[in-house]
Amino acid sequence: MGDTRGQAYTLEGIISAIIIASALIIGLQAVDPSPWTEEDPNINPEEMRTLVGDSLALASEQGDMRQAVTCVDTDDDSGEIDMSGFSSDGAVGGLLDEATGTNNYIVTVGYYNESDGETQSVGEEGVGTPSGNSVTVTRQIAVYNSDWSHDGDDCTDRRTTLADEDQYTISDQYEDAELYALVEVEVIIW
Amino acid sequence: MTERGQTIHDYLLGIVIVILTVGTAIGVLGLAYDPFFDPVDNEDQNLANNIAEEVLEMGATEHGGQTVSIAAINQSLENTAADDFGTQWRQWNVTIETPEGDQVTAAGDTPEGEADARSVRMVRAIESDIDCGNGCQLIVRVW
Repeated sequence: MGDTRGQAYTLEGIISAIIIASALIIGLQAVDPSPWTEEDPNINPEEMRTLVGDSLALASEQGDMRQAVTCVDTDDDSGEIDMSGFSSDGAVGGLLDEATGTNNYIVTVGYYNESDGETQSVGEEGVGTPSGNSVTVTRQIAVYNSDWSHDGDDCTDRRTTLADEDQYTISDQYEDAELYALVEVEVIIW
Repeated sequence: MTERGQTIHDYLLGIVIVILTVGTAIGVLGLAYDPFFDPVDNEDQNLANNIAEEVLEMGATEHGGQTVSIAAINQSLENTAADDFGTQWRQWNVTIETPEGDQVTAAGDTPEGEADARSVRMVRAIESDIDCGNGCQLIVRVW
């Protein structure tokens, strides 16, 4: 080994190190470690989608959904409805808790605003942030002028018909028809 | 430094470490594929979903798809042979339970606790003596 080529060997070493480090980084970036690092997902997405869909359908059949979405927030002009029906103590929330066995979900209620053609949100219930494998289920319910508005701790006390109600945050979207509004209930569960 | 060749002890130490490392790596390699393989057969899962749909239809009432007549379901399940569900080569079990875990009705083979494909639906009984509270569960198992 000559003693005049030291710098070349150093350069060779540095370049090899750079090449190996780059290869490692590119190789590791290509691997998705989520199947190994994620905790056992506590939901099976398809099963959960079916269960939540069934719960919302059951709530609709029992009339609980209609009561929950016509719940008036009498305390302030928050521009939102009273979401007690969707809390864990409420009829719809209780159904969801029972069916899914978890309270990692967020319920959003909105209505289709005819004037700007968009869905406006009027209430949200639930805590937490959806994780990567979350499931979203939506159900629409049509409310009519003759439907009752509700209030009270569990949204079961009848007030008046929607046509005569002035504290309900959703306004009549179809003034010439019996249809009052199209309300959409969205559940995100993870 | 005195000159010393590789002794037998060095070799043994080296080779034991190599064998242990290779053995561990091969053993762990199997685990690495676990998240990618589902213990439940896809076909069984489809079968379970279809059977659940059929049972819901058996008990259908005019109140809606999730409100069922348990009596109608019992009657239909009694008359059901394995071929009706397409389960000639499979075992199946249909159970309806209340939220408290009490069994309302059951039909089919007895589950043996193996990994089975499950389909769970929420239902409500139209019979007033069955209290479904927050919804009874219709559980179909296929294995």
